[in-house]
Amino acid sequence: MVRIIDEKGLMFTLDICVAFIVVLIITLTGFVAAVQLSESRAKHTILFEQERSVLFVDSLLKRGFDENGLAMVSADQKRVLENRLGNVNNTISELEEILIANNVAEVSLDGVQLFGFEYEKCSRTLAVRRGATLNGKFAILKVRFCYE
Amino acid sequence: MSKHLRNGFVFSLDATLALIIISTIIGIVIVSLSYAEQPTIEELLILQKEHDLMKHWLVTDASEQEMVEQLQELFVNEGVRLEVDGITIFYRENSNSKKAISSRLIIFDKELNAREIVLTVFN
Repeated sequence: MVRIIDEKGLMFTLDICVAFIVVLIITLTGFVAAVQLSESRAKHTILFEQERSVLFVDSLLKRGFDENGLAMVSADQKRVLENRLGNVNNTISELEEILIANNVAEVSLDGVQLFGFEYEKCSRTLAVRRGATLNGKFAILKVRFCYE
Repeated sequence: MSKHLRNGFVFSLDATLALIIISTIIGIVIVSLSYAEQPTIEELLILQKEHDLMKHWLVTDASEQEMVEQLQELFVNEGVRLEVDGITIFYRENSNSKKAISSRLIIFDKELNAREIVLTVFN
């Protein structure tokens, strides 16, 4: 409550009941905020991992083998042919270190595994499937990521 | 409730509670609205996959049958609709879908005839 003291100022008073309710509400709000914060943090971590995975696979399809990607490089046109895969088997073996550093657990093309290790131990896995052209035919590139 | 007391006022218990409830409701609405407008990464991935198919169809000049086969291969669980020159040639319903993500492609063949392809994925 706010009361005027001799018309010169204000005094803010709270009775015990109001004080108790205010403390209770503040405590509950703090608790809810803490829970929301931890949930939000976990959600953002997963979202970050998803974004990172999707962008990593996209870069594999957009970059040529001379730039740590899988896309074909045309010698005639002197440019990278996005989404058209080159010699994937050779490129994958050269990319092993980069794949491991980027949490890649498995790379397969049309169901044939090109790179992989036992990802059963991973607590969270995320698979990204993309379409590409390989020797004029449609092929599905599947990249599985392992997080923790 | 606010009561006039000479030149000041009394800020009572019910007024305090009402203010807390109103501000909480406003806060919840603002937070839920900000969450609702955020696009997810799934939408981007679907769009990328649609473009993968279209890039392949553009390069290989695929027939309608090939288009449908490749479409089903890449989108296993989602609802999809494929239209060529305004005619629906494939449609698979997804009753749980909330959003539709669509891409449009115009291909010119060797005789320079335009072919319009619209691919819609229901997620």
